[in-house]
Amino acid sequence: MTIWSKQWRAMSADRLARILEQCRSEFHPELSADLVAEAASIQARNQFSDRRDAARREMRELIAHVVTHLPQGGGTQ
Amino acid sequence: MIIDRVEIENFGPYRGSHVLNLGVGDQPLVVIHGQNMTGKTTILNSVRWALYGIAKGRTGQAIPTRELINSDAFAEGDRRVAVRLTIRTSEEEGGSTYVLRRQRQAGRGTANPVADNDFEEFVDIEQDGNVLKPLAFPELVSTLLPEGISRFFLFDGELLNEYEELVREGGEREAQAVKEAIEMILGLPAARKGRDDASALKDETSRKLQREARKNRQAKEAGDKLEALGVRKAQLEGDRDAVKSATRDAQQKLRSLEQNLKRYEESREDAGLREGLRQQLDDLEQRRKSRLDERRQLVKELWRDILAPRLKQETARLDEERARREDALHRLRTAEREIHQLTASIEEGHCSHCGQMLPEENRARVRAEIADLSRTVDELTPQADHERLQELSGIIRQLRAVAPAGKEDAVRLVEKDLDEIHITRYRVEQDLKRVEERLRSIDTEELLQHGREADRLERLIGEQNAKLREIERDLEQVKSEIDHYQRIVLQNDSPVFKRLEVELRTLEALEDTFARAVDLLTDELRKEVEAHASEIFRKLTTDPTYAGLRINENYGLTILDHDGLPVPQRSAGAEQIVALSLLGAINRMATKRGPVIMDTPFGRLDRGHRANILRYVPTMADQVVLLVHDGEVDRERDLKEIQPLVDAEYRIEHPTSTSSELVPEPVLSRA
Repeated sequence: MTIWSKQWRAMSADRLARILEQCRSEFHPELSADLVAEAASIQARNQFSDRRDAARREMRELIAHVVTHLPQGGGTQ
Repeated sequence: MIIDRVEIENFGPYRGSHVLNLGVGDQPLVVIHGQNMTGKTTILNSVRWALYGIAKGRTGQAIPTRELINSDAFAEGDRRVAVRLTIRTSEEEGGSTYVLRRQRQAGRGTANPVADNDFEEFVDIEQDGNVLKPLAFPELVSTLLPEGISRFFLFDGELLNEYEELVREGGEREAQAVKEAIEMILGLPAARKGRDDASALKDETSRKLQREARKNRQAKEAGDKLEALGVRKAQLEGDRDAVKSATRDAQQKLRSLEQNLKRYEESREDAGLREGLRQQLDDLEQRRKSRLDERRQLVKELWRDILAPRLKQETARLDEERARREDALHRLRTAEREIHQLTASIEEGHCSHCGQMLPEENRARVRAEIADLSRTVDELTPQADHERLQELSGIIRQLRAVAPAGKEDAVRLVEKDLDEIHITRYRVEQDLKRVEERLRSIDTEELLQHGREADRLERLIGEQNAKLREIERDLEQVKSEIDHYQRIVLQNDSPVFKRLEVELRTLEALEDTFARAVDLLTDELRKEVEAHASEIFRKLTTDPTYAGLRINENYGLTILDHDGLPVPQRSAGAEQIVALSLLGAINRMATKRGPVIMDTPFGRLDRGHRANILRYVPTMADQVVLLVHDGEVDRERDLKEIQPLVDAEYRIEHPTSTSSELVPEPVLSRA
């Protein structure tokens, strides 16, 4: 992790996570709060990289994990 | 992070090796004093060049390597330039010491290196004494200080100009790069890239769904449709990206052209002025020719006006002569008639008037009278020349027929206008001479070409934008068809299918969440920038009528008065304060750990603003390097108040026009 992104985590990833959570709870309450928080963290870590492979791999794994561990009967909470 | 040490070699006016120790103690401020043209900007450029391999000229263009190398060193065969930075990170940043060195030297076998590719580049890095692979150099630099946001840390006059474009109404396009950098430092790319990543993953899952759909007969047809639509969508997205990229390139070229044109703004005005003056000369020549024609026509009859006084005088003289001769003729005839009567009286012996007898004694008196009258007749005869009288009447009649033409005033007006034309032409020729003198050093053809190219790019951008709108419309249509067929496909009830369906819906929701967050985040960050910038602005401004700043969607800032109304006019100094307030706000919101290097930041400011900024800058970052000239900061007077915050001071000595030296100054507070 870069020094820059360490600084960023401290000061702006929290902000992104907070705003994403606000949008999630208002417009997509069916989404898991943990999923959104983790997605925020992935994006904050990878925001200065133009190559998106790493970020997308992490996101893909995250989604797969969330979907696999969904309670029977559907829903994403 | 702190830059501990800058070592420069043959860089600009600095010949040989020079060391600048910046992180000496615990105080944030380092002040480097130097007159103009002695190498202040070179210090900032050396840091920029060491990190990113680029040094910028006065107008933001990259300085070629050949021009970076000290000219004396180059002349003596030392054809290399190098900078070595020692950078220290704090404990929370990793607590390491990095050494980065960049060197360029003339390539082997290159006798006369001119172009950048005539030089070879070498980079070295060390972390805590361990040598790292040179390939890691760019990654390390983007770790320490990414180039995209470096403008917030290494700022010079050009950057202040960019900010001023940003805060100026209508200057958004010129400041697009700054706006993008602001959004980058504020963290907007995280939300945008999150949205794009979720969208890309959603498309990927959608394709998986299509493949799965083919296994189910009912959904096969919809799956086939979806596949075709997927290809179409990818095509359209490819086209959209290509158009966007072409538009971006055109915008970038246009920005750079506009910068060039701006540099030549004065010359452009001169070029326009020259055209105007040449046109004016042509017009004057036309007017002169037309006036000369007019005068030629008038002069044909003007002789009558010119001769009029002489004719009048001559007519009067001839009139007088005629009157005199008529009088003589009249008197002559009277005398002859009397002689005739008196002679008859003598001959007949009685008076021809009354018939009385004429005595002898009276006859002698009559004869004497006749003799007198005969003398009068003799005297008058030459005067009473009848032929001459007729001649005189003829001449007088002819002279009176020559009336004045009344063209004199018209000719006078034409002459006056011709004089004015002559004077104006002289003045215009002198102006033209001065303008041409100024333009002699400018390649006006290139200038005009730039203007034409800028127009072409403007048109191209307009066309590309229209094309983009068309593609976006098609894309929306394709997306809506995809939704339609996806709904059909989703009726499939296999477990894999169900799982992919959930994944797709999750990604759709996630994409939407990120998209909404982009708007919310932009809004929130903008308000925060406004609040910080206003607070800093109130500290920096000396005008009590200014109450704060209002931000627009491009991060442009308007000064507000105490009634919350925008202040319409602001001086160049006020613009600079606004720009510095924005910079301060962004630095405050981004990090306080990067070093800030400011080149000649007080150029346009009065003493009050200068003092406010000097009090403020040490709070901007953990390390602030100020490059100032004596005209903007007086060491004894201006630095007195902030002396406890000064860590080190240097003076740039400039013994010859091609060499500069960095001389440490004793810090006043410790002297």
